[in-house]
Amino acid sequence: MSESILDHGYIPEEHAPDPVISHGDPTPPGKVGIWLFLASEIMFFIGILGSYIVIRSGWPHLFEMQGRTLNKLLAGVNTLVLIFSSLTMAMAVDAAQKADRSRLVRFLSLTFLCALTFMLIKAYEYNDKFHHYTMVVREGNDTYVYDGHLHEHDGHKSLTGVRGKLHDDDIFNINFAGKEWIEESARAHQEIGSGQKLEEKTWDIHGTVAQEVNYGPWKNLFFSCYFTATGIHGIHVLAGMIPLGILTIQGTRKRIFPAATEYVGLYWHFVDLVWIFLFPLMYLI
Amino acid sequence: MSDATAARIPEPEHGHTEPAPHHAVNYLAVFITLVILTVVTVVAALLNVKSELTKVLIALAIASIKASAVVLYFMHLKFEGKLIYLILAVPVTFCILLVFSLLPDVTFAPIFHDFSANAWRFVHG
Repeated sequence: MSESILDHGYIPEEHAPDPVISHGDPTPPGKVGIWLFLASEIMFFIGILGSYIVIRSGWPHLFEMQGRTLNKLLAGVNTLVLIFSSLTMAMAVDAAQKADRSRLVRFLSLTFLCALTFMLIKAYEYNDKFHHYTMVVREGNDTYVYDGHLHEHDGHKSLTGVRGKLHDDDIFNINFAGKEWIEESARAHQEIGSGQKLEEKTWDIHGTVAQEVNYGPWKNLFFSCYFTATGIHGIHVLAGMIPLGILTIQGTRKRIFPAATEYVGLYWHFVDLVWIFLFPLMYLI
Repeated sequence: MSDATAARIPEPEHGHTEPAPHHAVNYLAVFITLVILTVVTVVAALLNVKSELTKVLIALAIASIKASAVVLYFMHLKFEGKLIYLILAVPVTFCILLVFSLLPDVTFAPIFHDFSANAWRFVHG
């Protein structure tokens, strides 16, 4: 009995009717499909990355200063994790084509674990930014600017970071100000020497909080771009984990899908490729 | 049927499907190249290059080399036919066009220069 669509839920590529395209080009239609999808993904990502590049060219100093608040080490580790997952994915595709099931399952699960590691590191980074605050606090007759990580317990607020006095002649915008702004102001008013830095410590916040903003997408244009680009990339990683998981489970159930594995691999390498551009553009320059 | 369908190994009995071609790519070598280039990117960023444009161009150049390695070897583009190259050439061309056609809107507008020179930073007096 020949296999029908009911056996698989779809027509396996090797049994599918000969497509017209194959008369001139041996590329299987599934592969053409996934590359067309990736082509549309390229346009999608250039919309986001391109606007980041264009906006950055208008405010180079702002972007450079804000970019320094990101955690380069974690992003570097994440880059290596994704590159390694690309390697394991390529090995998994190779194993699927050679019908080596134990290698396939091993490499697919490694790829899945790498994706999970990437997302956990990303979640830590996001959480860190959402707890990072800039605050303007009135304490008696003085007004202070704080920048650092906010902790709250029993309604009592404390902040680990730097503090500086807000002077009458300061040009202040909470969306642009950060640690560097506070230090520049302190230097200009001779509160610290020119080469000195403000000490980081934990401050109790007792006064009235006049303004506060955390380092979310609303902080400024840099963080809007950062959260949009890395967020959408993160969604792509999450989306990739679904077929990776399915193929791994199918592998443990003694089913190998060489063509599907190859297409998921193509998508996975593309996600890696987007991060290869995101990492230097967001974190390094 | 259950065992035959379970392992989806390309079988010759169905005729004309040519076996998936195996191109011997040393994936480990590609991986090591990518790791080295990542280190180069980080070092280049720490070099304290003054010009913003130079920094961006260096970063983009290294990223493009890394991307080429991923596309050519991990994604097997090197072994694909003309069709895949054509599919890829269209969006890549439009990417470059899109960014370069929009850049003058921001970089040549004087209002942005005033803004970036003053508003973002602390100005004394």
